[in-house]
Amino acid sequence: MTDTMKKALKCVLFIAGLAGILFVLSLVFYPKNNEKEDGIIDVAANAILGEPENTIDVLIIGDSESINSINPLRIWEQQGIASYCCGTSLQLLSYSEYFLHQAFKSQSPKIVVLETNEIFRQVTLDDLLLHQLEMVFPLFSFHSRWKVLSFRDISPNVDFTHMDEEKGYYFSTVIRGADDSEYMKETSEEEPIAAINMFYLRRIRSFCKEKGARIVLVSTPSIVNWDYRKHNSIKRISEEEGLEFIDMNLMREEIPIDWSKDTRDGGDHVNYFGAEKVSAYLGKYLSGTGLFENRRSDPAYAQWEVNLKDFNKRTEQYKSGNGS
Amino acid sequence: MRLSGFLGAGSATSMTSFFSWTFFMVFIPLCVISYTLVPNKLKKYHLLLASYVFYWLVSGELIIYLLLSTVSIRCFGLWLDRMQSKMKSTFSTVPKEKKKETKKRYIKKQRLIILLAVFLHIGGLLFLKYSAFFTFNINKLFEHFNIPVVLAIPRYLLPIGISFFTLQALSYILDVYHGVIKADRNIGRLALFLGFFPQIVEGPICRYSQTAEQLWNAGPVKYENLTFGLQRFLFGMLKKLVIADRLSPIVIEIFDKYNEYSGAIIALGAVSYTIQLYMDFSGSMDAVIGIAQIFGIRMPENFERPFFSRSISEFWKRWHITLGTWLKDYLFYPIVTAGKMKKLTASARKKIGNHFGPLLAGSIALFCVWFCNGLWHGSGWNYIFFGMYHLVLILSGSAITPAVNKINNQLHINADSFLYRLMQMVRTSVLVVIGELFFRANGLRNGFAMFGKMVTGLLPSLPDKQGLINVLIRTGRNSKDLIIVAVTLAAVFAVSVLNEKRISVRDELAKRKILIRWAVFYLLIVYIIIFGAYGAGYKPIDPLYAQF
Amino acid sequence: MSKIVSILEDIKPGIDYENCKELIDGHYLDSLSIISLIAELEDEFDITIPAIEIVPANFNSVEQMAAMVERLQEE
Repeated sequence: MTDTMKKALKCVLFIAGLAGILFVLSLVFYPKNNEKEDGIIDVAANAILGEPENTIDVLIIGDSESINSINPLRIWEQQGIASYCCGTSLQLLSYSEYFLHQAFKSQSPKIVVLETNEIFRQVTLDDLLLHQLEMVFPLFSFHSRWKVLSFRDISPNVDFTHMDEEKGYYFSTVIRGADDSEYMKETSEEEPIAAINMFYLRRIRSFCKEKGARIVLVSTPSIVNWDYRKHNSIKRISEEEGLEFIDMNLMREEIPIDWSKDTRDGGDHVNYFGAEKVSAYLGKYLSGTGLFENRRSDPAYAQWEVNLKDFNKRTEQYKSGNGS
Repeated sequence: MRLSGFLGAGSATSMTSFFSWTFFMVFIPLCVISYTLVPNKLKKYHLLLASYVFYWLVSGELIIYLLLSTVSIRCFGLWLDRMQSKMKSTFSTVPKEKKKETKKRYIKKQRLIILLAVFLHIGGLLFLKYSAFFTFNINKLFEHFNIPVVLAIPRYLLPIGISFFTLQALSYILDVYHGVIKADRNIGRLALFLGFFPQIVEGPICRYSQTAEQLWNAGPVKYENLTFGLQRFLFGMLKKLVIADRLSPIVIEIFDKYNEYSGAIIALGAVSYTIQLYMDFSGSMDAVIGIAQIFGIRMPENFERPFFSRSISEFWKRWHITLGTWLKDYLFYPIVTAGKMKKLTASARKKIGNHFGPLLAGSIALFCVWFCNGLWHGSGWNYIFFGMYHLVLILSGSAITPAVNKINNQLHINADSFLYRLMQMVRTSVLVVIGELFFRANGLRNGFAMFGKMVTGLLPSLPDKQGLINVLIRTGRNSKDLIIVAVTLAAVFAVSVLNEKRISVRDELAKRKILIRWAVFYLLIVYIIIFGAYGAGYKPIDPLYAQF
Repeated sequence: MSKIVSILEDIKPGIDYENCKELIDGHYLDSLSIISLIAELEDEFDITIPAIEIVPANFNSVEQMAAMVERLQEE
């Protein structure tokens, strides 16, 4: 018996030692800045780390649909609400949760907008396990930073300097129209949602509840990625879970997307012109909640005004109507 | 929430990789812990259950093929057994002069049974794996002769590991026929022999006499087996995650876009693929054998440091060993020892001498072996070409041996000197790399195009730094990736050299002080975590041999 | 025994057949040499060697080969 005890003790000690090593290495490998040179993946989404503390009112998470459709600078211009888009292409709910936790460390948004398309992207058991490991030991997230490691990484102090001028939005004026004759044909069928995805959705919801933030499920316009089956599923879930749900794909009056001009890749994503319409609507909706005051004259947000001015200068040609 | 979403049939296809998080962080720990808790008498059933759960998670309903194969080999085994005992009992009753005749009659009957078994098992495999290939080529043939018929190309779902467990099933039946083993009545033992979960995805292809008894008598987990097994597993993980998976995008880039690269880069691609394949396959074998060792099971080795081989023929005795010996025992020797072939050998020996005579008969058998070897790897002409390529190398190697020996003798070259051996090893490796180029190429035509470009363009384009930079940029890698691959390869090579000298690293390590041991393990684990190609920016890569 | 050794010397010279105990496992004899060997043994000792006898356990050393030949002669 004592022999078995000894061996068991050895195993426990070994694992404890390993955990200690991983903890220390996690401190070393955690990025000390958020520039691209620091080995940051998804630079635009992670640039939220560079925003001053407690300045972001609305956090947007989702896959490529979200960053193509929602332009925080336009919402800022029209409503004076500071939103930030932490969407990344092919984002999984597990990765969304990562961004959510990261954002709430230095920000306290009152609303979290979750683009619904990613709810249908299967999170595998492998994704879940790796994500759990990453939460405990950031080494698993940032192990590839061995390529850019320097002496500075030995000290755990961080200083995030990179900010994204478009607040995570992906700007594109390419036009490749789509045929919308089959778009949103009504059906009573539902697109199934994987159990792991529901698990993540509930976890995200309770995290937001704990932090006092409201979740709004938003389905941005897309012919390729959205249909009535998905609408039905999310509608049912939103009712069951008591979440707000805006399906922009069914709001063709309020958000008049012209599918011959407002998409950049044949109906997969909207382009700048589509995003203008989506952002205008979303801005109004956010302002209508009464949770936010207009911050445009707030000196703490001077940088936003600068970014907006630059952006408007770049997009002037499209506004005057002489753009393609 | 329904559990089936997590654990439904075929829901964990990523588990075909032994290095997927699900497999080694959930499945294996649960399996080992529950195994230790189960009473000794029931451990075998636990292994069987775990194996079927694994197969179900990976392949879902396709488990039916595995079950059918198990039932089939039990029936065939018992049928043969009955025939054999009948033969014996009639033997005692018939007069002496009729004995030979009776024996012949019974052997004939048994051969029919074998034929039926081979037809069913190989037929099933051919049907599932190759029907698309055959109909595609028949259509081409029709097209060529202007026959206006186009057959629909069927696509079947391939049960995981069918190429592997079919060979195991046949070896069992043939071993019973040859009297090497006795037919087994116990369906559980046969099921576990065929379906044991570590071995089912990629082999090794085990014989009944090697593993069936061991598995059915599996005992408690021993501390030493646990640690040794885990160490072997980690070593495999190092090979696969750090080397093979890191090379994978580079290989894909070069093979997909070889038009855009010089001969030197194509050569680099071929070398990289050979390394990737070896590290991937032998790394997975380390995992399989390591996991089996945790349960106290000794599996046959599938690799014996193949790149130390001095000839292609030796290479194939040290690479994918269990496939090689399978083909040798159940195809090659039966062919060369068949009556007619023996006569051929005898007459050929008289006419063309002791060396070339057997070579003639041997080459017919070898043709069958290499045709099957090529086809077994997949349905494509490049695989068949791969088999024929090695056939030609082996035959020509054997044909020139006397001449080479003569020259060496006359020039007083010491064939056992280090330099000579090294030259032979390098030559063998180069030939292997060329073979793997065709093996990996996207179709035979591309294979030849790549080979041509490599041969004509290699020397003029060396060292082609710009080409290398282009590959790295397009795959999002940089020179640091290559350095890590090189360093890790050097470490694996060092272990190989030690093994070649019959030194077991694990044994040596076990003799050291606990601090040194732990430091080595920590280093290995941390090395894999840091330098492994996983997570953001990497796609998980299925083991290469699971698709064959 | 000595007959077998001289047959082996004939087929593939330069190996210490009397003392080598791993002719197969040590990759000294390849399958083509085995064919020659079987043909020679069958001639020399008037036996037939079926495929199932061709296993490393029967061919790894000269002693094992001699034992196999003896056994087959008795059958």
